[in-house]
Amino acid sequence: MALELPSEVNSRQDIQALALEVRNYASWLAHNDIKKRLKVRKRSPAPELSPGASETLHDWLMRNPLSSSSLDKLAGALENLKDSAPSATITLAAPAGPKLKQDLTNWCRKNIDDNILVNFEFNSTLLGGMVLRCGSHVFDWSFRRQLLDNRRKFAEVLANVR
Amino acid sequence: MNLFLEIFLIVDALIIGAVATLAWRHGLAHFKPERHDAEQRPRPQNGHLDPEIVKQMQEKALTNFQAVIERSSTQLQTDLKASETRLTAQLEKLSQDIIGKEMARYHEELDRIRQRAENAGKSAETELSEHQVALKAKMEQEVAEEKQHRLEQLDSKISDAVMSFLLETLGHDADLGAQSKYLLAQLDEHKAEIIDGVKDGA
Repeated sequence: MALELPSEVNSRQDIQALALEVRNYASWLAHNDIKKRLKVRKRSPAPELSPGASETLHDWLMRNPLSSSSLDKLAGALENLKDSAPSATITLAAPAGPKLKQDLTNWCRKNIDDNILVNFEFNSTLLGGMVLRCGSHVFDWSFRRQLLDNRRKFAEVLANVR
Repeated sequence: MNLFLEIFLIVDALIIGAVATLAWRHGLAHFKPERHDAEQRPRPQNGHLDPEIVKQMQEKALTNFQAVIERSSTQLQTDLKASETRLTAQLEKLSQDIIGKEMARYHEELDRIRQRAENAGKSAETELSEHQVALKAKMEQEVAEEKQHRLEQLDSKISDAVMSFLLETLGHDADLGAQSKYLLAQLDEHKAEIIDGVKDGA
């Protein structure tokens, strides 16, 4: 069954963190079941889940039963996805905010692959724009590249100044 | 000319030899006369010459001999003088000829050398002026090329300086919020390339 990653989960590190959260939740669920069966009163609260983890669990549990084994399966699927999903790296001129990351990740998942993983990096020398790296292909749409590619035009413009 | 001189000298030597021989014979004949047959035969007893006559005859013979000697000597002197004059004239003429020829040859050589020097000077002048023209043209071309090269370098340096300034100045506080539309537009514009790149990578 194909997993649909939430837009907050972009990179391999995010999936790794999500898988860890799922495993923690599965572990808590297993402990909670044991305590329930043993009728232990004092039970630990459910671990807090990130919005992405909540969404993933919600989607999963709509089609699968709530059990620790099912959650372990989910974590395994997430880890497999981490290793097998296509990935791209976007380098920006500054650290990207969550909204921008979401927008860019959504675009990639809509146009390239449903579960593509997008890593975000920043390099202030780009000045603006971005550099997209997919496998061995690099697409440089940074302001720096455009300035360097058109520096001859500067001399022409200067020559035409009266 | 040399042959004529030699013949002349030989003839003169022969004449001098003949004259000397004649003089010697006369002298010998005078001082040691040969007795003729008549003198060798015993003189008839019946006729004696007068010593006075004999003396006269001897004096006359001596006088004749002296005259002959003097005449021969004078002749020899005259001949020698004439030979000397002719020899001197010939020598003068010969030396003038030789000097004239040598001078002519010298002048000819001098003219030839001068002509060669003039030609060499003219050709050197022509070559020099051609070389000057070529050098000037080459120099102008090099100056133009250098000027063009410097202008290109200047353009490049100015561009580099401006780019460095922009990169240095704008390299901080980039506002990604304002760029989000631009970023998404770039992705839309190059969607096909990106998909091909991902497929190739896969």
